[in-house]
Amino acid sequence: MKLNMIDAIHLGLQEELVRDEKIYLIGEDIGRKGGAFGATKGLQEQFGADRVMDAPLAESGIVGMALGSAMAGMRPVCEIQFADFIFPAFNQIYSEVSKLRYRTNNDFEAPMVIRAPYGGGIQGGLYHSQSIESFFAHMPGLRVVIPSGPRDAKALLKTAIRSNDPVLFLEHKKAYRSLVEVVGDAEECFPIDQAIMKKQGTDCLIITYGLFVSKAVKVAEKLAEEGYSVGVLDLVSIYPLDQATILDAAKASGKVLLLSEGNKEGNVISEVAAVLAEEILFELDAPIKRLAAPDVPAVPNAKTLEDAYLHFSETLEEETRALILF
Amino acid sequence: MQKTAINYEKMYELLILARKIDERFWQLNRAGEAPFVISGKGHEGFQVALAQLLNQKIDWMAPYYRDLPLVLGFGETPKSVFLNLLSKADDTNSGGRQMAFHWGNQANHILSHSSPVTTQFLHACGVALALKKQGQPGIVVTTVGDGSTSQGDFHEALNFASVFNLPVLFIIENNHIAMSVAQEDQYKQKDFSGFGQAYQIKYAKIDGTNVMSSYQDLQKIIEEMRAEPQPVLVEADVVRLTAHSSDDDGSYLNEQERNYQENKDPVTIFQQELLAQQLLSQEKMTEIEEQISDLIDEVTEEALAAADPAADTLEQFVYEEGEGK
Amino acid sequence: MSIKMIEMPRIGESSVEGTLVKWLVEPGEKIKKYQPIAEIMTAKVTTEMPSMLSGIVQEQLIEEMATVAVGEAILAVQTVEKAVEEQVVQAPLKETISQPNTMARLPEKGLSPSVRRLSKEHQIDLTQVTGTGIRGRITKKDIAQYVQNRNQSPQPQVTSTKKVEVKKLIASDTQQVIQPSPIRLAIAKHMEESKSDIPHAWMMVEADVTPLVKRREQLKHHFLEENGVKLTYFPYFVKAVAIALKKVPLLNASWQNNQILQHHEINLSIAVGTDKALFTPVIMHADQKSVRDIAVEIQQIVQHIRAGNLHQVQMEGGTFTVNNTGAFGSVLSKGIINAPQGGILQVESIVKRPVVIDDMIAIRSMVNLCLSFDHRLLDGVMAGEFLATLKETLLQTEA
Ligand SMILES: Cc1ncc(C[n+]2csc(CCOP(=O)(O)OP(=O)(O)O)c2C)c(N)n1
Repeated sequence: MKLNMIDAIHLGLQEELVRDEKIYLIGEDIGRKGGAFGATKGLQEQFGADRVMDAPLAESGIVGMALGSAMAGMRPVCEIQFADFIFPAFNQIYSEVSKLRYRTNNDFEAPMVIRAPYGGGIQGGLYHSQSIESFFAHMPGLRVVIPSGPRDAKALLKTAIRSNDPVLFLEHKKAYRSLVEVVGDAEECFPIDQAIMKKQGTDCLIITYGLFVSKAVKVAEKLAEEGYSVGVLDLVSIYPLDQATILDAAKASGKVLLLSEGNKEGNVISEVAAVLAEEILFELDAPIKRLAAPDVPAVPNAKTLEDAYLHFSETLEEETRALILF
Repeated sequence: MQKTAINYEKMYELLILARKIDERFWQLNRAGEAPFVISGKGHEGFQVALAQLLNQKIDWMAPYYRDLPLVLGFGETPKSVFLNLLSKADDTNSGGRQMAFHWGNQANHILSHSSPVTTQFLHACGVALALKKQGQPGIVVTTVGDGSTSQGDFHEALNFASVFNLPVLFIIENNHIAMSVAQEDQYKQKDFSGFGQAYQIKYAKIDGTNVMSSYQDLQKIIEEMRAEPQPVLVEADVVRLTAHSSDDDGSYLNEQERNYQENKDPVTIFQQELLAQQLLSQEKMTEIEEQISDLIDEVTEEALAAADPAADTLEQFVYEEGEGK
Repeated sequence: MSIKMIEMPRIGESSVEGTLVKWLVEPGEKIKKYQPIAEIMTAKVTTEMPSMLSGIVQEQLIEEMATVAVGEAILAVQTVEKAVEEQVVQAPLKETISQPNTMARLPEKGLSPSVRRLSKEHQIDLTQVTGTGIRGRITKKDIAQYVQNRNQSPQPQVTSTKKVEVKKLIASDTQQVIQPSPIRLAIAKHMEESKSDIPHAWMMVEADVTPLVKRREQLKHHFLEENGVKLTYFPYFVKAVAIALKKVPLLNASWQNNQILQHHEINLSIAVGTDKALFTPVIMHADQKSVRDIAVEIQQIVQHIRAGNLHQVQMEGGTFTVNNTGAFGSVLSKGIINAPQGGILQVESIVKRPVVIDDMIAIRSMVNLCLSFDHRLLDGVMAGEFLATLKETLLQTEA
C-alpha cells in the first residue's frame, strides 16, 4: 500500500490501538478534529473518547498525566500539536519522564511516546517551524527518534509505542504529504536505536535525518550521474546516537557532510562531528563539513526570509561535490 | 467498605514512630552521617489519620518530601526510610540515587517524585486516569506545600482532574510558609476554597495538626470519593516545627511565627486528647515510646552498617536492560 | 577499650568547615551516643552536635571559637564498645570504570592531519623524527622540536669541524662548482633563515621629493666645503626613517618566541655592498643625530669597509634596516628583512617624472619607497601609516 507520511502514521496508530488496549492517545484537538495535521482523523469515532482523548490546552498537563498513567500500567501516546509548544512540558520531560527508570533504580518505567510535528519551510513563522531536537538530545533515559519517510515512520512509531522506554517522536511537517511510498504491514517494526544506511557510497558520506534524508538521496543520485559515489546515512535515533553505524559508515570515504535544519551551533550534528573527531580522526580524509541553519532565533515568516533561512540546504549539491573533490 | 473501629493505639504508634525517626535523622545529620534532612515535624497529625483510611492494595499516593509519617503508614518500614536517608544500596525508593525524602516504591503504590515541586500532582491524575481506564477501584492521594500552589502544574492538575473527573485527593499541607517566604508574599487568598470553586471540585479545610478531627473529616471525604469517584481538594492546616531543612536555620522567622508553631505540636495535642478521653493510658504511651526508641536504635545501627551502592552500577538502568523489569 | 576521634561533621551540601562555638562536655565526662557534645556553627546552620560514640571524654582537641575543616578530629573519646567498627569495603573506582581505549583506536604510527601538513611545509623526512607519543607516534610537538633543533644546529661548513654529509655537486663541461667564501656562506644562511622564519609582507609608496632635491642642490657645495664629505640623498632618508619609526614604533620591534620585543633605541642598519659581500653596519641612535652627523658617519663606515677593518661591534644592535638600492639604479625591489628585525626599507632611485598635480602635468622628482615588514608584528594598516609618516617627514627633513 502506498501512503504519504501522515497517513502512514495514522495507520500505525490505528493498528496499535487495535493491538493493545493499554494504548491510548491524548493531545489537543486530536478527537473530533483528528489533530492539526490529521494524524488521528476518525480514530476517536472508531475507538471512543476514552482511547483518543482531547486534552485541555496544557502541555505539561498532557505529558505529566500521561506519565502518571504510564506508571500505573498504561501506554500513552501524546500528541503535542506543534513541537514549538512542547516547552511548557520541558520540566515534565526532563525532570520526570527521562529520569524515572534511573531514579527509581528500575522500579518504575515510563512506556510512553510523545509525538510532535516539527520543521520549517511551510511559512509557519517563528513558532510553527522550529527544529527543537537538540534540546532533547541531552537527556539520558529519553529516546529521540525522527523518521525520514512513510515506511520508516510507521515501522519506527510502532517500535516506539511498544518500547518500555519513553520516546520523543518528531515528525517533519513538510514530509507529511510530500513523501509517498509503500509501507509495511501491521507487524513491520524497525529498531529505534539504529541508524539506517539509505545509500552506500565510497566518495563521500552525507549524514542527516528527517526530511533531509530524501533530499540527500536525490543529491546522491544526481552526483552518481557525474560518476561520484555518495553514501547517505539516516541517523533515525537522534539520541542516543548509533555510534557504531555512524563510525563504520564514515570510515568508508573519510569524508563526511552533516546536514540538519536546526541552528548550527549546538546542533545534534555537532555531536556527530565530535564523535567522528574523537574516534576516527586518523581515518578522515577531509575536514568534517556541517550544513545547518544560520544562528538566528527561528524561521521567519516572510517567504524571502524563510528561503534565506533554508538556503544552506540548497547548497547541499555543490558542498557535497566540493567535499568529494577535496 | 466496612467500617472498622478506630485504632487509636496504631495511630499513636505511627505518630511516635515518625516523630522519633525524625529526631534521630536530625541527630545523624548533625553528627555528619546524613547529608540532608527535611522534616515532617508538625505535619504528622492528618498524615497519621490518612494512612489509616487508605487501602494500600487499591489506593495510590504521590507524596512530597514532608510525608515521612504518611509513607511509614503506607508500607515503608523504619529500616527502609533509614536506608533512604543514608543513600544505601538497598534503599527501596531509589537505591541511593535520589536525595533522601524523595519517595517512590511501586510495590507500596507510592509514586516516585523528583525535586522540582508539584510535578507529582499531574502524575496522580495519570494514575487516577489509569485506574479509571482499567475499571479499578481506588483513589489517588497527592500532597504539596502551600507555596507550591503557585506552580503551573498545580493548576493544570486540578483542571485535568476536574475535566476528566478523576478520583484524586489533592492535599495542600498548609504550613503558611514556603522555605522563608511568608504566606502573604506567596498568595493573597485567606484559604484555598477559591480553587475548589474555580475548578469545580469539592474543597474542605481540616486541622492537620489534630489526628482525631483529621480522621473524622478525611473519613467522610474518602467515603464520598469511593462511593462516587471524583476529585477533592483538601487544605490541611499544619505547622512546620523545624527550619525548612537541615541546610537552613530558620533565623528569618519572627517571634509570632515561632510561637504559633510551637503551640500546635500534633504529638502534644493527640496525647492530651487520648488522655482526656481515656482512649490510651499514660503507661501504654510510655511503653510504646520506649519500644520505638529501642527499635530506632537498632535500625540506626543496621542502616549505618548497610552497604553503599557499588560504583559500577552508575550506568545501570538508564534504559531498559536485558529482559526488562 | 580504645581511643576514638570525633570529627567536625559536614552539615549542609556545601559546608567545608565548622566553628566550635561551645563545648557541652568536659574531659573525664561520661557521654552517651547521640548526646549533644558541642555547639557548632557552619555556613548554613548553628546547631548542637550529637556524639556518634559512647564513652569517656579524653580530650578536647580544639578550643572554643576555633574553626576547623570538615573531617578534622575535635574530640578524643575513650570508647567502651567492644565490637569492631564496621568498615564497608568499596570496590575501588579504578577497577570498575573502564579505561579509555585510546591505544586500540590508534593506527600504527598514525600521523595526525597537522603532523602531515607540518612535515610537508618544513620538508621533513619523518623517518628522521623521533616520536614521543603513544606507540612512538610523532606528535605536533615532536615536529616543532625537530624544526627548532634543525634551525639551531650550528652551520656545520663554517664553524664545525665535525664531518657532515654534504651532497657534492658535480662539475661538468658547461658548469663549474665554486666553493663560496665563509662570509658568503654566512650571508646565505642568514638570508635563508630570515626569509623562512619571517612571514614577509611588502608595500611600496611613491614619494614626491622635489623640495628635498632642491634643498640638497642648494646645500651640497657648502656642505662639502664645511665637512669634507659629499652630501648625498641617503642621509636624509636615514634621518627621516628614524623620525618615522619614532612616530610609528611598531616597526622598530622584533618578533621572538611568540612575543614582541619593542626597541626603545632607534639603531638603523644600513646595507653597504661590495662586489663580494654585503655589510650591515649600524647607525646608533639615528633619531638623535642630524643629517650632517649621519652623512659623516656613513662616510667613515664606508672607509672602514674599504680598508677591511669594519668591526663586528659596528654591525650589532640594529633595530631596522635602510637600504640604498637607488644607488644601483633600481626603482623597485623587495628587501629581505635582516632577522630578527621587524622591517627593511629600500630607497630607490630618485627620477624625474611627469606627474599630474591639480590637473596639470608637472615634472617632479619622485622616489619609490619599498617596505618589507614582518607580518607577525603588524598589518598593512600600520605599515601604511609608517610610509605615510615617512613621506611627510621627507618633505621637512633639513640637513
Ligand atoms: C520548581 C522548584 N523551585 C524551587 C524549589 C526549591 N524549593 C524546595 S522546597 C521550596 C519551598 C516549598 O514550599 P511549600 O510548597 O510551601 O512546601 P513546604 O516546604 O512549606 O512544605 C522551595 C522553594 C523546588 N524544589 N522546585
